Amino acid sequence: MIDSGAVGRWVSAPGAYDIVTGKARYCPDLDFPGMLIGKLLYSPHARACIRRLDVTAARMIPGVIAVLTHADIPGENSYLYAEPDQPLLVVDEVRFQGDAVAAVAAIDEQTADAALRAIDVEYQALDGIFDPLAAMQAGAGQVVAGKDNIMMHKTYRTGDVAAALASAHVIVENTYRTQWAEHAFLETEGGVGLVDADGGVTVYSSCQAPHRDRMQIARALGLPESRVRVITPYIGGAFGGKDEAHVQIHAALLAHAARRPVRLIRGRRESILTHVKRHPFIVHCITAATRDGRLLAVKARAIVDAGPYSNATHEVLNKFGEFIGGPYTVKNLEIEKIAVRTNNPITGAFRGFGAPQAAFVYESQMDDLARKLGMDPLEIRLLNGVDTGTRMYTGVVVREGKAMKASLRRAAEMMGWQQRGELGRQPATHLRRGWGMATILKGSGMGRGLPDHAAVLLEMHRDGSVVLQSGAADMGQGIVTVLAQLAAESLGVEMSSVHVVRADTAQAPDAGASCASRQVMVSGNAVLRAAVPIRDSLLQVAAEKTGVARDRLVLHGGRLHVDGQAHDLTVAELARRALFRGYPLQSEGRYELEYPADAPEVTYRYSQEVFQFCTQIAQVLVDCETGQVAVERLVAVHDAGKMINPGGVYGQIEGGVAQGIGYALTEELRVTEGHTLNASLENYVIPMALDIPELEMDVLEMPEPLGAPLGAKGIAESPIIPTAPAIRNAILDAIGRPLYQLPMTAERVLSALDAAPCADPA
Amino acid sequence: MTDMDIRLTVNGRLQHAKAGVMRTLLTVLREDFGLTGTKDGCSSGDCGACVVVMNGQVVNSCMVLAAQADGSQVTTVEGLASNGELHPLQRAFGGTWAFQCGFCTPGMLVSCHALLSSNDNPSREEVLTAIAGNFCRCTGYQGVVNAVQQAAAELRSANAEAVLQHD
Amino acid sequence: MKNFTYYRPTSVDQALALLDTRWGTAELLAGGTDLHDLQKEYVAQPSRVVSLGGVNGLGGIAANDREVRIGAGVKLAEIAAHAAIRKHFPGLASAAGDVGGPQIRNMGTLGGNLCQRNRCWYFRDEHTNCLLKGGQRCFALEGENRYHAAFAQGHRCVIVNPSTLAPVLIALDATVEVQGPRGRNNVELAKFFRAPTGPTERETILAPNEMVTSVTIPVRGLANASYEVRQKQSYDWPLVQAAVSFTRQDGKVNAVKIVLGHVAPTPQVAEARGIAGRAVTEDTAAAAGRAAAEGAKPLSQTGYKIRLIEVAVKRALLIAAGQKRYWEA
Repeated sequence: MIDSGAVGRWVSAPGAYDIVTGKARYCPDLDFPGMLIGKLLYSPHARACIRRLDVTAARMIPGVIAVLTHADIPGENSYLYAEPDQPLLVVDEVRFQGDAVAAVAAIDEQTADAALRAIDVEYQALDGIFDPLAAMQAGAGQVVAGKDNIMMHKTYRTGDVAAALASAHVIVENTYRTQWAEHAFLETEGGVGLVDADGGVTVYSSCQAPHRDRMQIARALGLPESRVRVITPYIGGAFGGKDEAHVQIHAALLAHAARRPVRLIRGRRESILTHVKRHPFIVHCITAATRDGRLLAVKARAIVDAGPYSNATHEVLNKFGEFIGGPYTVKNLEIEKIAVRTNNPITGAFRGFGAPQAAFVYESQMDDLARKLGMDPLEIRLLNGVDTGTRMYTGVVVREGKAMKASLRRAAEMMGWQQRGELGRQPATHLRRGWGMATILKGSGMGRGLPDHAAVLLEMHRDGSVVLQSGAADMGQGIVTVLAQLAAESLGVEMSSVHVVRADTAQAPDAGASCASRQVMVSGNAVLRAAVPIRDSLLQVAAEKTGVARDRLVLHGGRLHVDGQAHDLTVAELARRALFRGYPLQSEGRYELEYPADAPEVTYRYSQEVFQFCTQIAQVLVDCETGQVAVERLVAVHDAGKMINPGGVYGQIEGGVAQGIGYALTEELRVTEGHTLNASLENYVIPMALDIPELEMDVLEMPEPLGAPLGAKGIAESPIIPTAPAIRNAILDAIGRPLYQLPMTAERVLSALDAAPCADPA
Repeated sequence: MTDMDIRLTVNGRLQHAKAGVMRTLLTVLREDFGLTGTKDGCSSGDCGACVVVMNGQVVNSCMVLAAQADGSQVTTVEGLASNGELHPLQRAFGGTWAFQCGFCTPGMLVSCHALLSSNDNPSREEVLTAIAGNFCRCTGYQGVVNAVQQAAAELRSANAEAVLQHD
Repeated sequence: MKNFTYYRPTSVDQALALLDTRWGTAELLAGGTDLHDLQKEYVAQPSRVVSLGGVNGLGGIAANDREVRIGAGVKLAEIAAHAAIRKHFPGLASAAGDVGGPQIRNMGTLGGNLCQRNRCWYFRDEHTNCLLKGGQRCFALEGENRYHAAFAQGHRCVIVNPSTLAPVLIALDATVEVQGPRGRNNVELAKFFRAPTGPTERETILAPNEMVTSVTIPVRGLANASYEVRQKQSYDWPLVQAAVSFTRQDGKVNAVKIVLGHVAPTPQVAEARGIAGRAVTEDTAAAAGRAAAEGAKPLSQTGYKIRLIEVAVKRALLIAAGQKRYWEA
């Protein structure tokens, strides 16, 4: 590949013009002739039996075209891609406040609303189970009949934890609690279903996994997948919250029943009430170390409130366990993972996928440990940090681990860590300033043992323009831009010559879900592979035309270069000639994340092996009279492997940190007896423009061997992971009080201060 | 009256619609006039995705009844470009990664455009205050600050040039 | 939302004629930032919505050296930016300038701000039939009440009044002009609010067929300020607010008024103790803060508000006295 093409450059997103002019179309903007408005009726109860469900009156309202109950589902009345145990439309028992009971399609929003209100449902409210600890007890009622409330109970052990604990000089033992968090993507969940003349179904889906959606839609409709098509329009954010299916299947069902297009968009309140949340954890953690700060063992027990259905609970809890030892050399580790069913909100994927919760635990433990030992928080982390070649507690051998300590050192340097003695810690009587750090790891990719591949179709036309078909959903994270850059550079054309078709299952091969920070790695490498035969054809033609040996020829900026000098021949001209000669200018590139045959056995199943290492250091100002915490400075150093799109990388870091600040300080779903009280952006408190500091960022590029030749490893998730523990540790530094619960609201900070009002800084 | 004939000037063009009373300015813009640039993020004035300028003031169009907007002048994101030329703000947004998913961008652009019409050299604080009602979940707002300041600089030098030329 | 008929009267009398003697049938629409939400969630289901946008006589800020009169239809942004208000009543300008974000301030009116319904999440949930909607009990009393009253004593409904302008206006001895079938009436703002306990009562003493037409604030040279403790700086309601006013002579203060917001169903006038006749210092202000919070009877989750009241009062006094804002680094 050549240098100085589109890769590594600050480029504009291909969709920029559409976005800044308002022309970009998201699901709510789509309109089709005869289109109806779809809505779902949700249970107001967290747990209830449905005694009667009568839709007759609703069906009779003029303008109401379809009303569906579970009886009207042609295929399977269940969804969730891993274990389909959530009903599309409830049969007899609602198990959380967002269970869907009926679906309507009508000529406009008001009529659809009227239809919902005309549906006669008689609920018999039942006592719900809202405390996971109570739900775990023998004799507790079953949340789902016939299924154990304990959805998962697994323990992973490595080394000899008991012996390590016995021999430890210092032990830190704490219980941590984290909250339900809401994705708050700005575009709520939506789908538009259309039925083709021949009975096939097309669904425009605001989603993260179009091919997987296709599978689920086909299942629900009782159609073969070949008759289902899923297209992603512009998507207004997802962050994991649209990984699982939401309303797209219902939109398809309604369209199928109504024989007309149906657009189904959730309102904001509905969205907060009914879609998955970040899992809340209760974690009891014991960390043991030698007197000079070397980690000996980590023993933890994690209990997760899963809500009634499985969603991504197994996966998230396993991911949590995979990282609970941190980016540290820990030989002895035990993690007991328990997931419990309740009638609380459903849970699922959210950026980080268990890693933010784990980081809050292990990085808080590290600072508590450092304080107990009188050690510098930086030194204790460097002492225990992994390196290239370290065998993790999961059995994974770190292939590229320089970034761990490099990010620590670089962040410390940018912050001025060695001069922290000069920090104005008490700018006023009741104000305290502090610095805190967190260094974390997160994996990219599905994990060893799980399929992790993507394919793309690439074609150059006779005028040199390029079309790229990828099944990778772009929710704003910028995969479309990255793929366009890679295609442009690989084929030697300008980015403006490359048209990336937004994921369409009828045209693009499966790229898998846009999750686990994987797309840049797998789809990016797929583009590189797809470009090879096309570039070959062009260079072959060029060699024939110029008589120059191929190794002196390069394609760049839309033109042939010979011995580094621009030549008259344009890529377009070469394309025309190549097609004339019958050389292929169309190819499919397929890439699978493969592990070397000699890779050592991994003891923790499905471990990820491509690591996003990063460190964040926060400076907070605590108002000891009110408990308010302001983040004054934040340094973030992230390893991206290789930056394809710097604008995108820095953007992901900024956005992830902003989410992390909310997760740390104010965001919390308030649920009582299974009812969410703050189902609005007014009461679910998210920091906005005046609450986020200007970040100081640096990006390391330590190419990922497993992701060769691309080297990029994806940094979609790492930015949100260290922020909460960094802020927690900064608060600890500022007021000398440790917090063990998220979010660290003013109330909780005040409670922590109650023991000793405005303690002197350590 | 339950149904109203409303007339308003949108992006310089007189438009009319027949609006049921429950409809908002946002739904009329989007559904009757096809101006789908302005978005609905919450329908309750908490997110700013629906921000438009109405009679010179930024408002949350999701909370303005269509009837209330009768007779008004409205500017949406679609009205920022002139004669097909993007406004410097739009170019700056596109060039400096002031967005990622783009859903907040129309409302954000309108708020920033309104700021620049009364402040030709806004500080970081001033930009953040102007967008305090525009929620963005993808970015950390710094890209917006950069874009606004870049556009402001461009506009100032264009104005300076225009003044020079006039002289 | 439920369907309704929309009216656009051009005079106060016309508007009043469209109102009903009972709550619920007709609603006044000013900026729309509250009513729209209530209708959307079916908490308000009027069959008549009376827009005040075209009513003459509700606009304008008239200022002279005796008083400032603000029309009920004046937007919050205008109040925050008005020279006379910034000069005489910086507390009011600051409170108005902190409401929501730019869009809310451009839409919301003074009258709407004073008459807005409470923000209790039980009240605003369609499916919860609380006291104010004709139900049997107040759900917040035994439920999730962290945003509710800290002075909860004797109240059957433990909401907090959400207006941040009201406490400041009360501290400034403002009066509100009310018009109704009985004609025009001036009411001390301190007597304008009440604690509702059922569906026939709201947060003010207005009858269903009355409306606010203006607010008048006497110009007396009072030092004044407002301080809010919020969860975040952008776009949030306060947890607690303190508005203060006082006279000053030879560096000593008198006639100290302290009015607390977001701690009780009505703006809570607190007793100003420990500061009369003295200079405002951190110590005297702190003492006044503690005194203001005395007598608070918090709910299960609003105990934290007591400390915040003390701090808010202290800081408001210091701001009004022009002292250093020690809490800003």
